[in-house]
Amino acid sequence: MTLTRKSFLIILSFFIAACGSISNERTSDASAVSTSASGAYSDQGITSSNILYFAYDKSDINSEGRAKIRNLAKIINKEGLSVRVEGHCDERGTREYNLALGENRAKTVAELLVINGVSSSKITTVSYGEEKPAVSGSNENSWSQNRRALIKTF
Amino acid sequence: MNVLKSIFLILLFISSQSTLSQLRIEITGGAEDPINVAVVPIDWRLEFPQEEYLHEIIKTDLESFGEFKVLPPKGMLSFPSTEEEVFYRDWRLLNIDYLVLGYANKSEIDGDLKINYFIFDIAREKVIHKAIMSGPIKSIRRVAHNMSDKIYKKIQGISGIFSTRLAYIDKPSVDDKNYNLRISDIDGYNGISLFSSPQPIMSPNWSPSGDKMAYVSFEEGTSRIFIQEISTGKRKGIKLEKGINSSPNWSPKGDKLAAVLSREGNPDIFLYDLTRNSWRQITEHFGIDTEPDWSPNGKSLLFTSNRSGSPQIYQVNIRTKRVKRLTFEGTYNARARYSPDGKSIVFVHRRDGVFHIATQKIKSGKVRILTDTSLDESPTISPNGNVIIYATKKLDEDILAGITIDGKTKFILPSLQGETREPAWSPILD
Amino acid sequence: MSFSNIFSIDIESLSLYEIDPIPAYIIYEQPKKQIKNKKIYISKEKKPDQQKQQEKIVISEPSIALEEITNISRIPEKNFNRDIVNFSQSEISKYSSIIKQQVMSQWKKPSTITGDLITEIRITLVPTGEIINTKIIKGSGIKSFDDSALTAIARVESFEGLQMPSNLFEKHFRQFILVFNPNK
Repeated sequence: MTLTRKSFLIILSFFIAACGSISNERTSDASAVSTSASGAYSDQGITSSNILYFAYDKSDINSEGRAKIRNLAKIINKEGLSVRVEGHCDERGTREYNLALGENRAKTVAELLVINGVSSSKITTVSYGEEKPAVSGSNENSWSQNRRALIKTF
Repeated sequence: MNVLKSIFLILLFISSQSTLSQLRIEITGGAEDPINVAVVPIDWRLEFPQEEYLHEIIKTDLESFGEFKVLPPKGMLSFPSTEEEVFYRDWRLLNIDYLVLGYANKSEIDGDLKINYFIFDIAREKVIHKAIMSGPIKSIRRVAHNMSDKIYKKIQGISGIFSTRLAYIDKPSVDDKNYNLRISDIDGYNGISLFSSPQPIMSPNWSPSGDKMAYVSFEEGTSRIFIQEISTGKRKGIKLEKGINSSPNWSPKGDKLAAVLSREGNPDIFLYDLTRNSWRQITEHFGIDTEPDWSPNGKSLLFTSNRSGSPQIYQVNIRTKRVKRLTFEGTYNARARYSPDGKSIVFVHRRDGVFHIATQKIKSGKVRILTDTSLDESPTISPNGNVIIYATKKLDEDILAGITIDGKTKFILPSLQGETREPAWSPILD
Repeated sequence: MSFSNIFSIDIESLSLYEIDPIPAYIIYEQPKKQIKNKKIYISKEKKPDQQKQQEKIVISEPSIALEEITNISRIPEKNFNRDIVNFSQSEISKYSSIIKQQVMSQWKKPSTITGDLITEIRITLVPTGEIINTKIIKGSGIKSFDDSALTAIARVESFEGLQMPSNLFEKHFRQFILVFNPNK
């Protein structure tokens, strides 16, 4: 290739590149696949004697609650049951923070059970935060029913 | 010498005068009006008719956040499809700022849709962008969203988010007794359930490359973090510890997760190394530390802590573990997220008993409340930093709503399935 | 040597024509006798070596420069030709406001999230108000921001309401700088 022809092509290529070359844009495809879980765990056997209620943003237990725990502890020890304490919150506030608050409630109950003679190895605690309310509704009536701890025995 | 020096100085003085004497007028703001765009129906040069109209999808996209007003075809005086057919005067009369037009063909090579399109600045009477957009004919929505992104970027200077997706969680309803973790296009189309379970699902979080999702599932009877590959559905639980395992948050490099464990007795922030499958403690305090968010530069985390008595936002340097408090207004500040530029945070702020979404420039400490809705939570920021979607309640039902960062445009996401919560905006997906 | 540093003096506080002791670059439509008078003024009021002295001082230190320029402005009025109009600040402000308002109403600035962006564009007008030249003299570094400013100016096309004395026009409005700074 002669010098002039080469330089012409070089210049031409610059020219093409310079004068607003058309860019090429491409769409890509994004697919997704579903899965599911069966959920080995379920709620059963809960009566009012197993539920304790809490004041807003608090995890301390009133005397009524303490009485319930005392009674339950007796039954648990007598029948050699295992215990699962669940802590719950009302919907106000952020979800993960409520998970932590729920845990405080569950732990407080667990501690009281231990004080009442239940072996700690028999107790597990779980927090559901605001994820499993007992009732729906954005008012104090509903909220007060959701701020609870459940004592499940099996 | 003196004379020479004086002449030199005089000349310098003269040249300086031209800047000094030139009047400077400060333009401190612009018009509040939306930008007027006309998107001419694309000249469809294929044998079969189009199933969906590109210009309609682009119009919906661009008008999403109040920034643009798009002229419908019935308002147009002409329908140019090439540069030569554009009469700038016509579009000026219609008060149009930018014009988009083009023509569509089928590619000879791969059978894909091929669109030659142009963007014109009417006032300056010039083409500001020309390109060929291609994609599968069956993905015409995706092609349209990509074009919207390009148009947006050319005019606004920041990335468009019309090709992004939103993850969210639906709670059980009359029709479906399961919780569902879903993703859909940001305009609500192409929704799919990624994971379905009779037990609660929480805290969805996209990996930085947009190919995986981390979330919390209660399927085993307690909270556990799972990572799922979106394209295949393959999932696995990460190393389970005693107590709470929650709040997963992906590092910018995608190699670690920040999360919350209460195995030490109370919730603290931990890092999970995805290659070594090991946990490392970052905060250590007897109170509640939760809701970590990774900084864009990967060096620090935001988190919520009640160590001062009530929930506030803190920042911790990952290397030094030094903690710094960021929020000082109000008694409840939680669930913070960094803006993409790392200079601001968006979080839940309670004022007079009402939970709002607020923002604060990290340095200034001044809280600016964005929303006028209440019981707001879970803010997620668009990858271009311009829009926030969050969860709130309307007539006792969980819904998703949105607001632009300047507070000017508000919207509600149409109810997709049932009651929806915990929105998570995907990164820019390519 | 950067003059923008030395002469960081707010234009608005000075009486303008007095800071042009050297008339060489000034183009007036008015009779040339004005220029002549200026020359006379200079030679009457200052001895040549004193003038040179003064200019040397002006450039060597900013504080002295400021002082000298302020001194110039204090020279008694009787030495000036009464035909020279004293352009008051309010007149300049009035027309500046008109320009500012018209540009702002046409500026659809992009929602750029980051940074304090500033673009400076030099505008050249003809006396009818029509914009005949625009040039970016200092870009913001972000093309779309700069472009939006140029587009705003293009939308204005021609300023309305700029009828003013021609020497005021020549002095300040034939060519001026628009500073696009939304962060103020």
